[in-house]
Amino acid sequence: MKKYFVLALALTFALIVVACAPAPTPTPLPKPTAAPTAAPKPVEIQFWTSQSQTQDTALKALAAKFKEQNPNITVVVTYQGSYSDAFKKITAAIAAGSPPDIAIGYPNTIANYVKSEAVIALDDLMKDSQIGFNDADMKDIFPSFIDKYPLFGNKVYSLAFMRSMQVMIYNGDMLKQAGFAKPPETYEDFMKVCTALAKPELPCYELAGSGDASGFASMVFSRGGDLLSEDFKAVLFDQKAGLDSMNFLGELFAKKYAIMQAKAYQDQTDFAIGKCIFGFSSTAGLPYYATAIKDGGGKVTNWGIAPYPRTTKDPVLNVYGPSTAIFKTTPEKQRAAFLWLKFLMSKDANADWVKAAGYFPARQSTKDALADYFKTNPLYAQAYEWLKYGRSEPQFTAAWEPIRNAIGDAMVAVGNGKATPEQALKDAAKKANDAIKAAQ
Amino acid sequence: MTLTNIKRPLTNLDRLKALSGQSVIYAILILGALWALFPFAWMVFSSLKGYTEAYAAETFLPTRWLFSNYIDAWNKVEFFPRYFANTIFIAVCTVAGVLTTSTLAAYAFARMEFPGRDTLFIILLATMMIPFEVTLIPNFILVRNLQWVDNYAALIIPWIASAFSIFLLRQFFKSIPQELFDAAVIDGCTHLRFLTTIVVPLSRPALITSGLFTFLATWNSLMWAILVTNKPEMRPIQVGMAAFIGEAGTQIQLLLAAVTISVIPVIIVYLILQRWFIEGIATVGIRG
Amino acid sequence: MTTQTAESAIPHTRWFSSRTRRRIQWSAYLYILPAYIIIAMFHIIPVFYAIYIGMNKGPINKFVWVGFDHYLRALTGGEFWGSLVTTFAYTLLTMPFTIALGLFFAYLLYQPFVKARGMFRAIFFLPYVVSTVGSSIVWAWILDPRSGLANAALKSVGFPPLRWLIEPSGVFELMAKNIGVTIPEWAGGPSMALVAISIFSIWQAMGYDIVIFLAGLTNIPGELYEAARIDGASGWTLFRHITIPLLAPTTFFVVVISVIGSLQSFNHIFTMNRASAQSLGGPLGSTSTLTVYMFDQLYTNSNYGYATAVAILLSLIILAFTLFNFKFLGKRVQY
Repeated sequence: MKKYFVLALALTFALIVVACAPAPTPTPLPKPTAAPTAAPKPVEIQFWTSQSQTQDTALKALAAKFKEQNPNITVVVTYQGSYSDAFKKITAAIAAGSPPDIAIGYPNTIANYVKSEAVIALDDLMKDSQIGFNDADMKDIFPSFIDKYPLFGNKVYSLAFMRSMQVMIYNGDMLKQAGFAKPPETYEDFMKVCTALAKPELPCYELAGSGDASGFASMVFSRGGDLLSEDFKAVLFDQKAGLDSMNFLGELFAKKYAIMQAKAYQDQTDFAIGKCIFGFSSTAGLPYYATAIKDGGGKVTNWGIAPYPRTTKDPVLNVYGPSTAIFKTTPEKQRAAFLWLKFLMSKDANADWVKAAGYFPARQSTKDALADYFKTNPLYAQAYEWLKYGRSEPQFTAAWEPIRNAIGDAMVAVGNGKATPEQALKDAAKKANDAIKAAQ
Repeated sequence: MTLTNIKRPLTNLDRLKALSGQSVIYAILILGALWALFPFAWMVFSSLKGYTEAYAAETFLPTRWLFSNYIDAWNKVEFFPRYFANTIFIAVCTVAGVLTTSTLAAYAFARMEFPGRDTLFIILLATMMIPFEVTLIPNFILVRNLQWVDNYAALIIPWIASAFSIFLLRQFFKSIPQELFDAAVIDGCTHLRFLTTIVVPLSRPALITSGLFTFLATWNSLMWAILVTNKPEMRPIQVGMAAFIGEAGTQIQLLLAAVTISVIPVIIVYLILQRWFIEGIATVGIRG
Repeated sequence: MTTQTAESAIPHTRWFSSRTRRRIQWSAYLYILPAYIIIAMFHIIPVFYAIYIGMNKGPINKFVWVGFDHYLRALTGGEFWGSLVTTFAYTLLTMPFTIALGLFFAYLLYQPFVKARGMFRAIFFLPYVVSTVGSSIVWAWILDPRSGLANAALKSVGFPPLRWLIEPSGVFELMAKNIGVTIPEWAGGPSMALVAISIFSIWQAMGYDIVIFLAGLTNIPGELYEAARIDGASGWTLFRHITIPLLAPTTFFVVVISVIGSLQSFNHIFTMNRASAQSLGGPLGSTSTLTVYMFDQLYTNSNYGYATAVAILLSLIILAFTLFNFKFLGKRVQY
């Protein structure tokens, strides 16, 4: 009896462990192939993304294309959940000493990897005579796609092969009703539209309860202001442009032209069924608007996009989005990863990506490869022309996420009538300064 | 059941009383069921709507019934069947593991005398008080050093012991009448035999409950799965569901379809287990 | 472990119940060993690592030792205490209702005359089965201030509409305002948003308690009810004198587990705030429990050390409550 007892116990336990734990699958050995191009020995690089479904498929197709050109480099594209899931995963991987070779992430998370000394500065690789960018390349690439991190010696720690732009979305029929033939270019005109049409059931503006820091950045830019100083060490959003923006927001709420959202992406749906006059969104959201409008039973027939209203002569648009960083591994892998990133930023590959995902490409020359796409996507073509007015959000610091939250909370406090615009902005500036101190 | 088995003859008044009492209970149960069911039903109906209609949430029933959403949801995720199979495999292994380790440990904590018993039990409970996020990184480092990344082991082994289940079973094992133990002693029964032939059958409701909750916990964990896997073919269903939530919008009708699909196996498991669940000690009796 | 040593640890085949003679059963260690190995590896050892992290600052792989600074910062700062108050408020708003409703419905479902019990049970369990990713979306619709059913229901009984999930003001503050009184900020009470999330939370967790209570009820020998009925007991008396005392071990379990779960609550708040377009901590941080605060420090601010210190403080608070439960409630139910 005793023996059976011990045996049974040991067996059950062993069984569970054995049955449920097959031996680790051996990683396939890289097949030795001839024809060394840029990488002399075959390498496999791990590319971690937050791109799922069709975007994931598109990236995998590009990896296959890349392999044709560089037979020695195999890129393994892996979806690692949302941007915040991927951030957690990479943080854990850095702690365990097993980061990927290259990964997509928002620059403020990449700033955290820089702090961990887990990613490499790309300046040398960009200047490399063999695999780097030449002068023509540097002229071709939009400056807002090359990420300089002011707190880390102004070095380039990430490059982007996609960006979005914050735009205003308008309902043409409603504008006409208010007596406007085109979208308002000044904040006074915007207010006139609201005064003519807006009521609690048909607001001008819907603010998410998480605030809208990218929208606020757009407003500040459009009033000629900025959020942070160039060295990212001082807060500027509490100055005139910021104060004017916050006051404008306060006025919209005070006059009941604006409401708080109570459902995720309520602004998209409400606009699509004619229950909101304007939408404010990243261009990444436009496909969702288009779907919602198409699917909304023809309640909105005439809509378009425009830059935010402005006080400046030319528009200034907030251009932002995820970038790609290369992790500290071996020199061979780093070079291979850089080649892959360069490929993603190249004209044809980038055009393929744009067609699949609707983001803006890194190069001006990509326009030539997008002629057909422009025809079928007039809104995209329109926004593309504004890229030259683009300005980056100050997203190249770890402080950006807490600053975003501080700005968002200020907007929500104003929206709820919990603080005056001045007070809200003052609180936000204080929190932002704390975050800036912590990030240095 | 013996509850209504009243020995004295029933009068008409008794019957009337019982009947009106029963109607009240039914009414309350139906109200409660509606409250539990309504949001779920709305979710299922919304999963059959078009994008805008689902989001606008103005009606309960779809104006157009888009059963194609389910096909779309299934097709949108490249590895859906594989994810599904993985999740079931992981859940079944975890449940088997948890039930084995918990039954043994709970029995010791409930019925045996040994030095440090209460301290060991409190330490066990204390592990439930540490937020999961805090142990995420050390656990990942451990799993990586064991070379379990992209291996089912990483998705199963860390979860095959559960303080929750041990605690639950301990409570139930404690309530088994002392007389049974004493009778077993006379029969010359060992602990293990007593456990397997008497305690386990008598504790079926508790075992099923703990198995069910383990199954659900496995069914709903996302972060750990993303952490310890890279190959899509090793991943569970939650990863596929997370993919419907985009950066600038959510394909809500497809997400809700995917959520509905993922509920089905759990409901099937529950309905299968129900039969055993209802037959507990009360109906089996304590004849031992 | 070798078979030999293990074997010698097994007592003789004849053993005695602990009531008649207390003797140490060394084999007990073998029974708890499998569970304890796993728990030690994946739950106990990481705690020591967490204690270490809590005394450091900086990026995860480049720590700088700071000793107890984080604890000092947490205990002297307002955010920690504010979140703790929110945590207690949320626990009080959810736990008593979930347990009471859970027991109530479990008891009704247990009544033998109820037809289609299997179906009822499945329905009551359903909310717990559905991933909160899906159900939170539906609840955001229900609680939508403009077109939601919750406000429609309020309107039908003559109440003014509420802003539910997007309302950062305290419920007492709102009530006072309604009758034209202004009360100081500290007396504002839990935010309306927290109350709204609690409703969702109760809905979701009720099925969980029902299942556990049903298992406990099923364990009560039917003969006891029968005997009591012969003695003329019925209804409330049966419930009071048989169900309540015999269900005590289960109730004790549910209370202990609920206290641990509620004080750690994160998932309901996180998913509900996401579904209602709010920030992580709800409107103006008014639903930020300690775990939410910890999460925010961990991932928004990348303060691993500080976040871990907060988590350890929270664990100690929960431990204190659990020990209290064991000492006082546990004694009462004779455990």
